Amino acid sequence: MQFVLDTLVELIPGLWVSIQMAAVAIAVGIPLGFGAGLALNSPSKALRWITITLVEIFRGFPALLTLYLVYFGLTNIVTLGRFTAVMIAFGVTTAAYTAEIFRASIASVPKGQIEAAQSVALSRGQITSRIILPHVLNIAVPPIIGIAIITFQGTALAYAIGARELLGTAYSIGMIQFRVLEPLLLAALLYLLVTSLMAWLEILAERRVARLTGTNGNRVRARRRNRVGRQLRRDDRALGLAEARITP
Amino acid sequence: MLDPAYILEGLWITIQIWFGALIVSTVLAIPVAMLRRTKNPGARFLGALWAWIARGIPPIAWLIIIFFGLSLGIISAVPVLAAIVGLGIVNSAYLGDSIRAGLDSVPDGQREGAASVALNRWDTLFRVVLPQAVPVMLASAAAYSITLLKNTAIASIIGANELVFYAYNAVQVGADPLLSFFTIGLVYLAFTVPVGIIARWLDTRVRRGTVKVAH
Amino acid sequence: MTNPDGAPALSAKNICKSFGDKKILRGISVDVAKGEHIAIIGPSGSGKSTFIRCLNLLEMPDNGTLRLDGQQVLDAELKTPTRSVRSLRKRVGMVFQSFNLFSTHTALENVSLAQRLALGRTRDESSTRSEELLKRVGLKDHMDKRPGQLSGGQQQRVAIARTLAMDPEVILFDEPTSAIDPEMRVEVLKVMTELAEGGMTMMMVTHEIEFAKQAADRVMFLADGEVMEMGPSGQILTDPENERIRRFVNALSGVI
Ligand SMILES: Nc1ncnc2c1ncn2[C@@H]1O[C@H](COP(=O)(O)OP(=O)(O)O)[C@@H](O)[C@H]1O
Ligand SMILES: [Mg+2]
Repeated sequence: MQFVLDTLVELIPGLWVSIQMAAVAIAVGIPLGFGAGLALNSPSKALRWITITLVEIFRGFPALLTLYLVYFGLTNIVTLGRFTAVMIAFGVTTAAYTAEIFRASIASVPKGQIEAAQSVALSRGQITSRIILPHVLNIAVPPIIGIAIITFQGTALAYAIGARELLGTAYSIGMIQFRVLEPLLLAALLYLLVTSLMAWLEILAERRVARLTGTNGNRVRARRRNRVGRQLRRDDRALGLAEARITP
Repeated sequence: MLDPAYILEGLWITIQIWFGALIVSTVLAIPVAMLRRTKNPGARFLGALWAWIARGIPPIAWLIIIFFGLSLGIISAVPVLAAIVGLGIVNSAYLGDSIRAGLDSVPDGQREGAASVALNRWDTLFRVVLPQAVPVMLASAAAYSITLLKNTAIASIIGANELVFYAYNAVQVGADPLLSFFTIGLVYLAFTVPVGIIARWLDTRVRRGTVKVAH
Repeated sequence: MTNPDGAPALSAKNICKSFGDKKILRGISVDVAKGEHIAIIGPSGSGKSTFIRCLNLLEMPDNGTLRLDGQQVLDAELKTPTRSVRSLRKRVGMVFQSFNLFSTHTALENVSLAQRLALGRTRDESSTRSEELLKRVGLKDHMDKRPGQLSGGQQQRVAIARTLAMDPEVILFDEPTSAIDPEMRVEVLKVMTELAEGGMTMMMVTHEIEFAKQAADRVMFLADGEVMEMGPSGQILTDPENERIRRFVNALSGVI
């Protein structure tokens, strides 16, 4: 028991590093992803294709490979610390994952609302900032949290470049104490805990979106279509975990 | 420089892990989905608990635990096997959802209709329910299989000699890291992009309700 | 109805519109006098929505001219000599079938937003005006709710208030009650009746025959993108000469 407690205390700094890594990756990834989402909705074909290519590359590469690419590849050009490498690699990966979410949310602003905004003489810029942006910020939050979960779990890959995040810390405690399993299981428990917390936030955010976007005609139809998905999530709620959705 | 022959060898191991984990996850996901579709709250809880743990822990942590932490005989000794089991566990949670979503997508009226013409359970399942449910399952399962393929890269960390393992070692002995890792990435893209296209195609067809499976 | 003081509020000439090679509007003309109320009826797909959307340039006509209060706002070359399309839209209000409230904004913000952004009113001015309008349409207690928390009838009344806040010269309505539960329609129709009695110039696509009989001065019957009949509402809605219109009106009134 004492060993468990001691190990937990020793794991906390590792957990903190993992959380920081996830936070900076998300902070880098979301604005990039939003920019990509705008580009994917742009009328310029060239811009759309360049963006699609970049997004497909970083969505199709395993995150570990992107991490190696940045950590070992960019070192030829600039010296990167592990933390910086993680920030760049997972920031770009997060951006690629969120781009599709932003693209879809921007495209999902009901056409009628844009027309209504035009009919009361709002300019294009005003429509983007006052109608489209709030809508996107609202509806994109739950799936973005879903991506944030993936990013957080992904920080465990930094173990592979020797970072002292949660998994790396657990592994080295195990090596020093000659008890490998317990520290790893405790680390797993901490991952489970943080993941569940984020999943719970995702559910709260989802409810908020449902409340905010209420009862438009096309919503009712969309809701009916989502019945299956909601059923799935309802079961997960028993355990406080929504499925981490991955957009193909 | 990367050697094409080695890339092919690595690819072969990657594919073994991918398909192996697909099989393991299918075997695990079917009972999990069944548990979660029963009316018994205890069984549902067990199913949900499995899914929660399977995806609440990062795939790399699963692999490290299985390979370094546990003593599961040959599984904990052979990196490829440890990767197949670990990634199979993770994917079983997602695949379980695909299966449930597929079964849930068949309206109750279909089962009632089958019952009304006195089909037995077996025929109802195989001739009425599954032909409608399978396309729905496949659409999301295909999407999850992309994630699974990308996760096979993690197996390199426990020493499975797949694509990334090979590139990593080549870089250690002097190959250009940018070029090597990028080339390997393209090999992944050669799989993820087409599978993604298929998944999206299936998904739009399923939504439109135009996929019909012969039976 | 003849207009005593000069130019019509809205004058559309020969409005044509095609989608692809499908001709939807085949040259529709109408003069709407100040304070006049015109009901547009006709079978589904006859081009009613398209026509009304052309009047505030949500659809750009392929041909035709538009005048507001005698002033050319769309000339034969399809140019808008007035500063921009936006200035036309400030003067012509639109109420949509599906309300189209801004879902991320409260009722009050829905009504205030364009007052500030398009008309340049201050926050205080616009809030005061919005509150006054929302009270007028019977939504005093719902000002801080979002569209999702309101019934269809309530949403449509917010939408009407949003349009009124622009102080438009003409308001266009596109089937304002057909997406609303029957028992909620009456409150929207009441607001529209009050507007009509207050002298607002209105063009409304509607299939509420009783309402149209009361509120409309003239009725325009559209079929296949053309005006099949145009005349006083009493005559067209109670005793149409044209057999097709008679059947249409009878069906809407529930008379077999
Ligand atoms: N944006 C569009 N693109 C192509 N066809 C359209 C578009 N809008 C309307 N139409 C077609 O124009 C015809 C008239 O539509 P509409 O004006 O909505 O009729 P109504 O309002 O009288 O029912 C319909 O056949 C419709 O399919
Ligand atoms: Mg219409």
